[in-house]
Parts: sequence; structure tokens; C-alpha cells
Amino acid sequence: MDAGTARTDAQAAFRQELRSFTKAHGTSQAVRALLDDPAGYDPAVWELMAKQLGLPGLIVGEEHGGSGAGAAEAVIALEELGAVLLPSPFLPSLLGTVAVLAGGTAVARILPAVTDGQRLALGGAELAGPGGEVSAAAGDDGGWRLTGQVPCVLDGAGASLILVVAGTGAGPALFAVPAGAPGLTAVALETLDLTRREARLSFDAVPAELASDPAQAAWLPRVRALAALAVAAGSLGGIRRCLEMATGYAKERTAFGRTIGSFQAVKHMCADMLVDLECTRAAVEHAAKVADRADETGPPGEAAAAELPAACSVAKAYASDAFVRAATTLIQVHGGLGFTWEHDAHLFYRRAFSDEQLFGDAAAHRAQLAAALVVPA
Amino acid sequence: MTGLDAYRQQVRAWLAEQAPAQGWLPAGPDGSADGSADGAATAADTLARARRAQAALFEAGYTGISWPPEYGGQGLSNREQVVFNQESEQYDLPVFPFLIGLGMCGPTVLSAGTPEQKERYIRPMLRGEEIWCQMFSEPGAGSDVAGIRTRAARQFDGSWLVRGHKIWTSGAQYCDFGLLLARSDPDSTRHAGLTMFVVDMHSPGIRIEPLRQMNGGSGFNEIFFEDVVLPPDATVGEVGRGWHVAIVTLMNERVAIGAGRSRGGSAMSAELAAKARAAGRDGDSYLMDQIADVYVREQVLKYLSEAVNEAVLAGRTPGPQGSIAKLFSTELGRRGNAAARQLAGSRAQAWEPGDAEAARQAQQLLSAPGWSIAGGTDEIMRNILGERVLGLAREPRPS
Repeated sequence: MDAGTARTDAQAAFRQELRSFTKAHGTSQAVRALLDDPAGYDPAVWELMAKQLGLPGLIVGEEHGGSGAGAAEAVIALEELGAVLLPSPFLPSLLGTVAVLAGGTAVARILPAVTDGQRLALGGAELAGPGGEVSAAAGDDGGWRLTGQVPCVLDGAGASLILVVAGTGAGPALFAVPAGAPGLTAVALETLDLTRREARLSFDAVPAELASDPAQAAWLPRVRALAALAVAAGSLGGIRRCLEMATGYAKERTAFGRTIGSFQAVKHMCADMLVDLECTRAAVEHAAKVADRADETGPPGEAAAAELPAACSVAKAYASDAFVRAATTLIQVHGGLGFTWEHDAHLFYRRAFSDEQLFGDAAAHRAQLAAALVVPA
Repeated sequence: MTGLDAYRQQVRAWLAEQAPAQGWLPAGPDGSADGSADGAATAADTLARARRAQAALFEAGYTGISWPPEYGGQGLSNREQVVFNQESEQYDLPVFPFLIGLGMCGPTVLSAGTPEQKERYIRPMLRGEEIWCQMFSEPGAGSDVAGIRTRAARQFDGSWLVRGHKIWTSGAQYCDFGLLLARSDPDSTRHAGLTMFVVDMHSPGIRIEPLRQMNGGSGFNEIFFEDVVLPPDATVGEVGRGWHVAIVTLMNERVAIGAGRSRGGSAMSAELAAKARAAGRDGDSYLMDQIADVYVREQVLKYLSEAVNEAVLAGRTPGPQGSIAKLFSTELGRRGNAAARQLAGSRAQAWEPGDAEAARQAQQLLSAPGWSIAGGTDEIMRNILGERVLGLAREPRPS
């Protein structure tokens, strides 16, 4: 199996722990048992993910009970979980945590509960592209009220606290809304990816807590970039698994008296997947490095913060296209078996096309990069 | 500061001082491995400039960085070599004629040659005094090097008589020495019975004819061996083991080509974007998507080579990124050309006399098919990835 990259011994050990965990709990059987489950994940496994791996509080600072890890570790976790499609609230909670940390004003109020496994979700028209809008208005009591709609939010119906990007008169701001707040409606959606739960959220004057500093604007591009990177990191794991499954099958399956992997038509498909895997890995890990550097103070940190949106867009644009290619190739290599319900290939195919659209598809990220390219220096 | 940081500072300072003095320009958008620049290197002044640059590198100790000191190398590790590569990337060092010698022939002589050969050849190669080429391909032996028919017959006095026809040799017209792969056992087939030789390219009986490529350049040559006599000590490695020696050379070639193409960072997309803006086409979403795709791939190629460098610097074994880079870079080149054509419109096929920009683009377009063939075809590269990295079975040989 692909060893994966680890820049430090601690990262290598963390990856190894995750692999042991997914080997035990992320089997095809376990994943399939949850496909029809309304919650879509196994709470006992999520509890173990918290206890054994510290995943809910992975990037939460130690002062709030978290592990204080950075983007490099988050990317490792997302890659390993993405490789087995293990359903869990990890990604939505991580996205919510990223938003709270970037927003900066509600960290101490929200994040200690997250490290205990409280589930977050993150939504906003600003994040998902066109098709919805939420606006925030200051109420008579000095609090905020949200009105509008977000077309799809990962774990939007299951999370206990939802982070919402909403427009204020002074620009977009981050708000926290508890599940069950008056005026909040969550409608569970049908999902292409059966290992994910998504909901449409409607807000009708829902009371909300402000979680960002209206005077600061830098948090939103950071959240957008890191959300795209998080999805790309999961895609990286998916591509890796697609390649492993395809080559494994190409070595075993015989046709015309030889293994199908000895035919160049099949071999070259696998080689192209390897190219895509290594290119995605290079892009995702570079973006994670930039994200961690952006946390540092001083000019190097500022330079990294300025590079972060482009680095994450490169990763998301490449990873989304590459995962779609890998999952499609996976099915092709498996022939008739590849498009049966029994084979796991379709689960990766579903995940690939889900990842493609979440937090901006490849074309949207290329459009952002293009806009930056034509700005005169 | 670690020793490596100190080394980096030293390299940086030296380059900053030498570049203006030597007239080394900042690196341009095109790598030099496209076969168009090498034709120009035949000009005597270009060659003289290359020799001056290589001699300066040797004097300062920045060539053969990881090669053994007894033969003129610096005896340092690959880590210092990587540091030098990183620091020199931003300059267009005019040392193109030496790349095959330093990238392929030198490592082969060091790995398989005798102490006498190393003593004789390595130092002049490093100093830029002698230029090398490699002669493996033949009209009947391209991707399948084992189809070689050039014959090396051992004479009664131990010397070798060579007769045959080689092709696709870069820079043969100005080379002093070359590595020759020839069939030393007339009864052998395929990989057995091949031997590697070092050839003095000024020997009688060698006829070199430039090969005109579809892009109009003549960077490659055909070489005819008409009863060329090689001395008994011309063999590199054991007689009959030439294939094993050649593998070392070819592995070094692919790494050199992939690395060469990764130069220039995001230069191609930056140039395309600037032109799109100047032409008022920056609102054309199809064109801008193509340009951004070129940018994405340029970045990815850069990160791939950074990942290799980082692994070497940290003392880890690099992954397959080096082999992947060649395959990936040919695709990037094609996509860059597609965006450029989209931007140029009819000017891509007919341009005003003296429009150097349009002519250069046409040159790139006509060079692109060669990128996917020279130094290992895309298909051979995919076989290598599929078989050596992924462990898939080889095509069965006809019995």
C-alpha cells in the first residue's frame, strides 16, 4: 500500500493510527451497513474517533481541550477517512471548526464542546456557489436574526450547531445557530453519495450569535480556501483507493489467457491514475503546508496567507477532476463487475461526483485563479 | 544555521555575483528540452559561451557536486546538488551542450567504467572541455532498444570494428565523445550480447548527418559507423552486459528531461493571461478556463519537483514523481499550446513577416509531438509506471 507522505515522525504515527482505525472500523461491510441509516453514521464509532484519535478537536487549540494540530494533520485524517469512505461527522465538524477559528470571536464559547464530540455544520451561499442567500438583520434586542436559505449543508439536519455565512449591511459575517432554533427548518436531501447526509436549511428570522469580527474581512477567503482543501484531501484518499482497487483487480483478473493488467490498454489507464494520484498529492500537501505557514506571524506568514486561496484552488481544481477520472476508470477496469451494486466502485464514483461539486467545482476554482492571473501586477 | 543552509547562502551569493558578470539571464518560459534551442547551440559563439559557463561552474565547485572528488567532483551528497538546482533554477545557465554528458554519460561511466576511464573522462567533462552524446537508438530500435543491430566485432588484437547506423543523437555534430550501445555477439538476440562502448567522435569512419525535424530544427543527428576501430579499452562495463549499463543511462535521462521541463514556474500561464488581458479577451470564460488549467498544471509540476527535492533534502527516498514529471509535462505543453492557439486565432496559422511571437508559437506547436516521443514515448513511460511502480505484469513476449 502507498505509504503516504509524513514530514515528521508524529505525522507518520498519526497516519498509522488512522490506518489501524479504518482497517477495523471502515470496512466495506461497516460502510454499507450505514447507507440506509437516517443518521448516516455510527455514533459508537464517532465516539471512538474522539477517544482514540481526538478527531473532533484535531485542529482546536490545546487551551480548549483540542489537539492543536494543523492543516497537515487534518489533511492526513481526511485522506485516510476518504480512502475508506467511512461515514462520520468529521468533515462537517472540521469545516465548522475552521469557520469558528477563522471568525475568531466565538472560539472559547463554541470549540470546547466540539472537542467533546458536539457536531458542527457549515453553510452559506458564499461558500457553495449560486443558488441561495441568507441575510442577517440586527433585531430590537440587539441580537441578530437570519432569513433566507442555503441549498445544501453537509450534516445540516444532524449537527447540533450550524455555522452560517450571512450577509449584513457591512458585508458577510459568520453566525452560529443551534439546531432546533425557532424559524430554522432543515429538509434532508436525497444524496448522490450515499455515505453523506445533506440538508437544505431555511431561515425565517432565526436568532443567531455573531461568530466573526465585522471589522475583519480576511476570515471568509480563509474559510473558503480551507473548505475546498478539506474536500480535496478527501478526494486524494479516494483516488488512492481507486488506484489500489484497480491495480489489485488488474493483477488478479485474467482474460484471453493473461492478467488484464498485462494489456497496455488497461495498464495505461492505471498509469494515468498513478499520475493523477501523485499530482493530487503534491497539490494537496503543498496547500496544507501553505495553510500551516499562514498561521505564523510576521512577513512569511502574511505571504502564505496571501498565497492560500490560490494554493487551495489549485488543489481543489486538480483533485476534483482527478477523482472523477479515477472513479470512472475504476469501474472501466472492473468491467461488468464494476457497475454492479455489490461492488464498491459505485460508492467511490458517487463520492467523486459529490466531492466535485462541494465548495466549488474545478471550473469555479479555475475561474478564481484566472481572475487573479489577469489582475495587473 | 545548518551546514546545508550555509551551503545555500554560499551558492546564492556566488550566483548573484556571477550572473551579471557572465550575462546569465533570468530563466525564460520555455524549458530547453524541446529540441528547438539545441540547433542554435551549434553556432561557435554559443558553444564558446557554454564552455565558459561550465568552466566557471567547475572552478567554483558547482558541477559534479555529488561526484567523487578523485575525479574532479565535490564529493558532497544529493542534498547539496538539490540545493544548487533550486538556487540556479532562476537563471538561464547556458550549459545545454553539457547536459547529456553530465546527466547521462557521466553517471554511467562512474557506475560502470574502469578507474582509468573515470580518470580520463570525468574531469574534462566537468570542466566543459569535452562534450558527450549518447548513441542507443537506431532506425530499427527506438522504444525497443533491444532491437539494436549496430555490430561491434572483436578483432584479433582486441580492438573492436564497428559498423552500423545510429539515430536521434542530440548534438553529435559538436560532440567529442559518446556512449555507444552495440551488438558484440552476432548470434545474440534482444538484450543479451550488447556491449557499451565509449567512442571518440573524431574517429575515422564516423559520418554525422543532421536530421531535420518537423519543426525545422536540426538538434538531432544520424550517425553512420563505417568500419570504425575502437581500442580494446573502449568497453564500459562487461562485454555482453551493455543492456544493464544502458538502464542506468536511461533512468538518468528521464529524470533529467522531467526536471528540465519543470523550469519556469508559472511563466506560460502568466504570459497567456497578460496577452488575454491586452487583447481584451479576459472575459472569455472558455479561454480563461484553459489558461487557468495551464496555471494549475504548472503549479502541480512545480510541487512534484519540490516534493522530490524535499524528500532528498530530508534523506527520504523520492517517490515516482520524477518519472511522472515527464509524462505530465508533455501534457502541460500541449495544453499550453492549445490555449495559445485559442488566443491567437488565425494568427496561429498565418502571421506578418517578422512577427517573432507568432513564429515562436508555431515552433512550439510543431515541437509538441516530439515531446511525447523523445526520451521515452508517453506509452513507454506508462509501461514503466504500470510495471515498475504498480507491479502490473509485462506484455508476454512472442515465443
